[in-house]
Amino acid sequence: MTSAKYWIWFILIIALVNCTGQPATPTLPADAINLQMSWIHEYSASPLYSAEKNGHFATQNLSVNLIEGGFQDGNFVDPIQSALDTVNSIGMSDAATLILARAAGQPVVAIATITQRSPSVVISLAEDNIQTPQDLIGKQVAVAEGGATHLITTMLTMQNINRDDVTIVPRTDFGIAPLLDGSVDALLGWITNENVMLEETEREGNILLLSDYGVDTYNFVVFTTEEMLQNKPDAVKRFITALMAGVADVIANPEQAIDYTLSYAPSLDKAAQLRRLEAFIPLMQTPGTAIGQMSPDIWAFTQQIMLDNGLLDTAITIEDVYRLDFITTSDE
Amino acid sequence: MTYDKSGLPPQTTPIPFQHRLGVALMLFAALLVIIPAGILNRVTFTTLRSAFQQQTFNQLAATNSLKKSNLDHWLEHDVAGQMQLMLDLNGAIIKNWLARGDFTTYTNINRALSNTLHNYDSYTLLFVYDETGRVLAASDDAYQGRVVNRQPYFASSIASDATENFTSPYYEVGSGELVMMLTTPLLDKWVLAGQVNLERLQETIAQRTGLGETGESYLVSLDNHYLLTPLRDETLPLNRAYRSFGIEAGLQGKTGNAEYNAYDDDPVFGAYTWLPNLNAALITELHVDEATAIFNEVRVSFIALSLGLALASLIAALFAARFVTRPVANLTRAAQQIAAGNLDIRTHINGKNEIAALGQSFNTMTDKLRTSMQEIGQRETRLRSLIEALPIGMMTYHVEKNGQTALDDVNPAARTLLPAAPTAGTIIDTAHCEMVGIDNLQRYQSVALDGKSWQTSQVNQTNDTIQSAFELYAFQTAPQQMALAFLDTTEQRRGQLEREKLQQQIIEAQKHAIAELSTPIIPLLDGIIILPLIGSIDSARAQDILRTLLKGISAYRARIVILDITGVPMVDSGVANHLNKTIQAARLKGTHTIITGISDAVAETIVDLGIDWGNVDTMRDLQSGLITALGRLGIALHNKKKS
Repeated sequence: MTSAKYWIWFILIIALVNCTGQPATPTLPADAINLQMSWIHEYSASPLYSAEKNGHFATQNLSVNLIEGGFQDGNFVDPIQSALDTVNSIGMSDAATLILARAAGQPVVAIATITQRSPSVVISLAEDNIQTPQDLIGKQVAVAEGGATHLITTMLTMQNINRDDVTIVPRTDFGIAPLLDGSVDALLGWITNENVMLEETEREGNILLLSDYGVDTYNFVVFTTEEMLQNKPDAVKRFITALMAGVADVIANPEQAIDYTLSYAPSLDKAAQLRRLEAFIPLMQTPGTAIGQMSPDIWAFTQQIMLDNGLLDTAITIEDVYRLDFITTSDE
Repeated sequence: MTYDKSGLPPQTTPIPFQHRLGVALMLFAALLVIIPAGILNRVTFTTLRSAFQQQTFNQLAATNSLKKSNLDHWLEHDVAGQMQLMLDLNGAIIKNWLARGDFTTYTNINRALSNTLHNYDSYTLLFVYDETGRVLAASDDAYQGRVVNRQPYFASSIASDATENFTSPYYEVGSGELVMMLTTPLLDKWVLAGQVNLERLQETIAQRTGLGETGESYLVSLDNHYLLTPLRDETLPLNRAYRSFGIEAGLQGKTGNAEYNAYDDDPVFGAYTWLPNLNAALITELHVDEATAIFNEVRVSFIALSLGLALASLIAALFAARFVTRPVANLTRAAQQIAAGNLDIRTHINGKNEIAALGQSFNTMTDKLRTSMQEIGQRETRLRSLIEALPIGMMTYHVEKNGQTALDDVNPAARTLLPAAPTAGTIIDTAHCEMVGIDNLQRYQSVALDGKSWQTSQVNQTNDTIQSAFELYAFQTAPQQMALAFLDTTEQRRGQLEREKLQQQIIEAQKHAIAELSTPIIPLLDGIIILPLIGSIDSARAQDILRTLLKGISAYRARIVILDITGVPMVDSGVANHLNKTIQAARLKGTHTIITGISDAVAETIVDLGIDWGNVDTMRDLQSGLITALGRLGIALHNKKKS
């Protein structure tokens, strides 16, 4: 047998081994998705970055285009409208905004949540000894106008505290200076922002997590359009699978997530972002709840707050606002 | 030069045999130790390490088992037991107060819970909440008003009818504290919840007795792979996902042990156990280095011992090699000295063994060799003197390894004979060949290599002068060696040349004399000359006759010539032709020629040849010719007696 015949046999054997030894991998359809972020690039969007950088989107054969939200060119980007105006769109928003959108007839549906618990928290200096909502009676609390006011009002109501017994003043800035200089006794902020700011001053503080007092909502909700659900439900499912893997990566490795974040927004302070992300992570996965899982009770409660505070005139069918079937829970 | 005990100069260059033998012995000795040690190390320490590993696994598993047992006991007897005790003591009244449902009863319950908490150290907080999660009463006033419907224990506490519902430890959102709850239903509407004091848990897990410097136990939550107890390195955060083979196996509900890389990638021996009540994995690990420290020490000691033995074997082998090879080396050096020409060397090898005998024999051999060498030297001296004194030139050569032929020696006679002869050591070339009169270099090698002797002669001559001359004999003196012997024949050659010259002169003189005698001119009378011819006449003689005759005619002013051919034995056409030319030449000189002495045979020959001598006076004999000649001169002979 000539050497050429040996080579032919060798190549045939290798080809045969490759054909038989390699399991056939089903090819996922390639889909492009436009992801409209609710805010600018920062730590809270790190699950998106980890899903992209760690290849979870690629594994699902998805090409995800991240569209930055927040204020762009001086105008606030409405993520819901932007998503509706864009093809193959998935967006990020909050529960209240989505309920309002549905009430306004916009065909958007929530499909997952990044955070399980609301980050809203009443922050006070430790020296003021505000440890329960009852301690707010007679105090001055700075609260941003709008939804935040409705949240604290709801909490006070649920705690049987007369609304007039607590002085609520509007927050005029997003810092904590009024709290530090004693202008106010407390302020309503986020545990991931204002509370970290207070920790960064090394001043002792107390917090009242609104969700600990029954006031809870979803602030980082993943939604999509009904058109998308109609036409590409599999792409949506694959997107959620990849994104939840990104959430798990962030929980497991916050430092990596912040490195990814800085690759999108290099001007951010890495240490400050990491501190905020570390406060953010407990909100993303709470014991007994699957990552991304939403509770109908929270949706119903959110709508109830909106109804109670006049944000919504008429209740809508809240089950139309969300879909729970995109998240696989441990019970399934 | 300093000498060692052997009486020999110190060794300056390594002796291959000694070196090789030393190295071979050392290698053999080293392998004799290292190979068995390596095999022993491999076999023994593989088994030993496996035993250490198993022992460590057993120890870690026992630690896990003990801690699990302690935790189970703590949960069952302390945590659950105290809850049951509390219910037994205060449950009825709390339920009664709850059933009344007014605010004052909550105050009573608060007080009851707070008092209870002082008596039971397994809890840090007790509170009661309703089916909406609203906390109605609590041992801590700050907890009142809370709504726990978002807490992980809430759903199961409401849904379950079990008297004890454990919720595994988790990090509370907001405070970030690690909490563990035990809930028990109160009637159908309320739930008594106790936040478990986790100090016991922490103490039990943190117990490191028997775990050395690197061993540690820790709990990992199934929910998020977070740590539920601090690590030995307490700076490491708890709320991070920690992963390793042991953690994954433990969280999969397995109990076992393995060697793997821990969460920090360090190699460890680890035991893992699933704790269902805590929904966590108990991991106990010990760094491999520490677990195998004794093993490693033994191994290092063994290896060090093996290396020490190997080194000792090497040294012993070195000494042995030196012991064995020293006499041989001495003999070798002595041989080298002898080879260098030092026959005064002696070896001093003591003992009664073969080497000593060999040394003595060597000395004897050296003595004899020295004597022989002296004799040879004397002979050589004599021979050299002889050669030096010999009138025969001698040049010796040898063929080198590269095939070139080199001149070894030139004796004075050769130097005299060949002043241009090169010095010893010169590689001979074509010029050298020409000098000694040999046509090519191969002739040297044919002698030196093949033993083909040959001889030739050389004469150096300028004009008629011999500068030098010699006879040359080439012969092989030894394989690849040869000699040229030059016998000076200059004087001999010169004498021979002189003799040849003299002989030639004599011959010339004789030839001249003979020529003169063969063609004599005899003046007879005034105007008459006689030329008697004797012997055969060839062309050369005919020329001589012609020149002699013409010369005689001129010298004697002869008017008549008598050619007497009485002595010519034979006249052929050539002789006749010559005689004709002579006659004609004489005629041109105005001289008349008379040929006399024509014998009968000559006459017949002339007739036979058709020679026309009609115009020539021919006479039978000289006498007739003489009379005829005189007559032509008008001289008549008179007989005086008659007159």
